[in-house]
Amino acid sequence: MSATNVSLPVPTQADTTVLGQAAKSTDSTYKILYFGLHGRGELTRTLLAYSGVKWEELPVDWATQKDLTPFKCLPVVYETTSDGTILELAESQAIERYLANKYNLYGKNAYEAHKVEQYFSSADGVAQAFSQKIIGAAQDKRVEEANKFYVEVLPRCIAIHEAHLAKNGSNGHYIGNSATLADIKVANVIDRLLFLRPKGADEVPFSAEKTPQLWKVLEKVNAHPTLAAWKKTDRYQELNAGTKSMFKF
Amino acid sequence: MSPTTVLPTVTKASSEVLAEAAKGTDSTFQLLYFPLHGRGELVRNLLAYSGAQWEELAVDWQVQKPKTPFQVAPVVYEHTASGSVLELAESNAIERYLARKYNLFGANIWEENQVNQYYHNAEGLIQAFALRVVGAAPEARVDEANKFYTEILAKFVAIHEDHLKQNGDNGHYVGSSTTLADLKVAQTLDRILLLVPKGAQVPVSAELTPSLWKVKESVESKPSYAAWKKGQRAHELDANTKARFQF
Repeated sequence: MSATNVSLPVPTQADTTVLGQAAKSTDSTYKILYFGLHGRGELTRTLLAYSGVKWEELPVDWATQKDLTPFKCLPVVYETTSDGTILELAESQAIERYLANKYNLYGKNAYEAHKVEQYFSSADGVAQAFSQKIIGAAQDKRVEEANKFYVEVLPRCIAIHEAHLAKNGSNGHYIGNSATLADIKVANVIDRLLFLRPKGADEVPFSAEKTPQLWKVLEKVNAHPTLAAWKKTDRYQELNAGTKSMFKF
Repeated sequence: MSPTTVLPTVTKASSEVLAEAAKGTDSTFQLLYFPLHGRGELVRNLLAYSGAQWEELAVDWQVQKPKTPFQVAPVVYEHTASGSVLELAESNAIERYLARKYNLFGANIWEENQVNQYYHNAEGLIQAFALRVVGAAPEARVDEANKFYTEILAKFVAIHEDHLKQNGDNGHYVGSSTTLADLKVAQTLDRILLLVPKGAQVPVSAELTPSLWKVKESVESKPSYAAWKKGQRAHELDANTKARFQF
């Protein structure tokens, strides 16, 4: 049986002016190195799918690849630009912002970019709290912790976000009339909370009736054709299973 | 006159108008945050570094909380030269906004990505520190701190010393000028150096971590930043932070 090729692309060595010029390319192709679960790779995969670019996954052999990555952690994304330059992108939140910036998901100006980051940060806080309190809880405590979370942490954040979305015109967007990283991040967090409900826990308090504005954001993001197509793939189902298995849900 | 607790009225206008107003580097700022470092430290550092005129609002959280965009602090109110008041929220969003405004975010999309990369890697370190050391019961702290220093901090140091040398060991993470990455890492080190359990010793110094130390010194060489760090308020915040977490 032949060994899987686990070699990594070699990033182009050049100064940042040259790399900055190459990075302007919007018809790049991408390779992502991340494990077989959603984890810290989920939003990056979502953004690659959403943007409609050509992308593929690299096989993981962490023991041999670890020392070849910039921070000895994943995800890492290798971008091949239209002029053949290979750029190495690391740290999930940096990658997410880079892709959003490049594919017009960062707002129209510095003020809108700030608003995108506000909502991203707020949603990320919820995701981190969920990760610590529920994913991080001992299995026999999970139902209790989840129920507490749904009642003590979520409602206030939901109310704040519902109000912001209503103020923006109840159009399924956080900023203006078009999708930004804020929408995609929030949709991702809601999906994660819905997906990782411990068996026997209460209903996660998101629905078209309970959280109409957030539900609109979620539906709009998930209706985006290239993202919808990604979510129907076998690989996506594998990642679902890998996630539940990894965290014992 | 003592600082006010009254929050400024935020200008309502289209994002184009606000973005235009936001371009100026001659704005003044008001910061709403509690009297410790916490999630306000890097914001305060950036305001000081920028050389902009800024002041702190007095906190009356029960009254002010519902008036803030996410019911959390910090919030920063920017008063532009044209008379608009912009409301900035969420610490890392505020930090990036200030970095963009004051040319601390790199010269292009690639450099910006590099800045973000080091920022987030440092954020990972400080979160681990908060969880394992600050979050430990006081009697377990020396042990937890020593574990953190040898298992987590040591790895961070090795990776970052290497990256900094690859960038020319010039006291900067990206190119040859200060960026948010430098300021974030300097603040991260400051936090770890401030919250040391009695009996523990942080393996960070000019001798042990020369390239990282250079980053710290480079940031501290900016006069407005140095003046802030030497000032009475910064010392108060140090003391309050230690007291709050029982260090």
